[in-house]
Amino acid sequence: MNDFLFRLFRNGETRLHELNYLFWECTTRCNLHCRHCGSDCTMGSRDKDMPLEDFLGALDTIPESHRPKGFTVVLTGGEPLLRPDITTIGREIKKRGFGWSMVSNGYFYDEKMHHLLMGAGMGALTISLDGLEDSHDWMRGHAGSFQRTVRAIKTASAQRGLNFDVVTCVNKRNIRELEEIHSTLESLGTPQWRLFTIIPIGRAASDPDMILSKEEMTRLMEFIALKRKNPSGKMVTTFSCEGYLGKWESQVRDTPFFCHAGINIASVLIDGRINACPNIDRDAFSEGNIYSDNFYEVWMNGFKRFRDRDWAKRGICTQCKQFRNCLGGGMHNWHGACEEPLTCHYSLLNAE
Amino acid sequence: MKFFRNILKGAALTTALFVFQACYGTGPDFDPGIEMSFHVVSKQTGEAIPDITIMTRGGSESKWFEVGKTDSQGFAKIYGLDYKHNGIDFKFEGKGVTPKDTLINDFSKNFHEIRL
Ligand code: SF4
Ligand code: SF4
Repeated sequence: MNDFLFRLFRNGETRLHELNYLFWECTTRCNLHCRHCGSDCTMGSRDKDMPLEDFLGALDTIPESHRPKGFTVVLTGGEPLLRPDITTIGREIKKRGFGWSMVSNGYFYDEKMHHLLMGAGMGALTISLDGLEDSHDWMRGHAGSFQRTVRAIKTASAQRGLNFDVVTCVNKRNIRELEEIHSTLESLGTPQWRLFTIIPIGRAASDPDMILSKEEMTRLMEFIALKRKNPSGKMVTTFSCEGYLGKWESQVRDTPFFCHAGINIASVLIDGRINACPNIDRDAFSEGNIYSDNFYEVWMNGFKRFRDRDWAKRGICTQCKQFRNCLGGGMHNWHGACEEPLTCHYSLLNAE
Repeated sequence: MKFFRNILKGAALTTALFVFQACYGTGPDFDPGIEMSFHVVSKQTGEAIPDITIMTRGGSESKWFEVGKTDSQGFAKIYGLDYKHNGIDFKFEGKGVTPKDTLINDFSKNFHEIRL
């Protein structure tokens, strides 16, 4: 699809703004302490888990006629498996006609857990793996977590019908391991591997090992493009949605860059705030709170800054010739006073 | 606008356009799978039996794994993505009852009464 048609499609989607992807940050407790975590979660997080009935109250504001096929509630955290009521959560979501899925670090994901979750209707799953054994355990701040994650990946990969993928946050350390991670994942039967880079927020902001240079970013693009062009097995390798990539767009993804935040994606955050992806600046972009507002009314009538991105013509984006394709990159890239995006892959890849 | 969208959605080549996932999110759950409802009652009295563990076989060694439990009224809903491909063996067990295995392969019927 050429750029013009794609922009037409994107504008149409924006005007329709059909909600079909809803994150619920059901806990901020986490058993690990990852270097790249944007949430600053801890095992003893100061935020209490949101009670299920509070979230269901928000979900129930969505009229039945506005629950399209494929509408997915994505449980995220923290680590969702720390919630003892995880299967009740899944069943209640299913009962209302939505699909549900989960993002997990895989630590507690054994065969027993897998069957409980499948029985409760889980339809998609993402598990993060951040390198070979040493790198993964270093990144996760926990020896032994690699083995647990591999067990989880093997179990989930064997499940017919589950929309499962593995994500890897690429950093200066694990970029040297991509080839071996690829073979490891293929040998485990992983259907899809998605790579992304770090946004310099949370713990990652002050960690020099996390941010890729121009050469490393180019190497990453070349690696993904090659794996897509000459796959060695069934596994699909792809780059995540995070930013506009210019000439690499068609080589590393299935569809051109399109930040769906606030257009199809919303979130209910741990404290009830209504936003889009959970990695978006909560203070700058929250649109309401389920404890004081009707969730679906906020979806329908709020989110103006998400649906009209002209405000993003600032800082380096002001004069950018790619603005109409990129619209200032992902919403997660605008923080604080929003004077400039935190990163721009296009500029990095094309730097002199 | 919806018309244009439906045309695009209908064209197999462009279906991928509608399948997106946020950086930290999962892919969409497009397959609602099969939903099975069970009501577990006593063979002798006909009364509902709560807290019965429902299991299916799984894993490389085909062991029994719990997939749900009956509620206080003896009801349970179990979901499965691959049920339509295979007949599925369910096992029901709980305190004071003789466990029972049942093979279900008629998925046109999604309500099953189980007498223990
Ligand atoms: S400068 Fe801004 S609009 Fe241009 S490619 Fe970078 S993020 Fe996108
Ligand atoms: S905000 Fe970021 S993670 Fe969310 S859809 Fe946009 S680019 Fe993707």
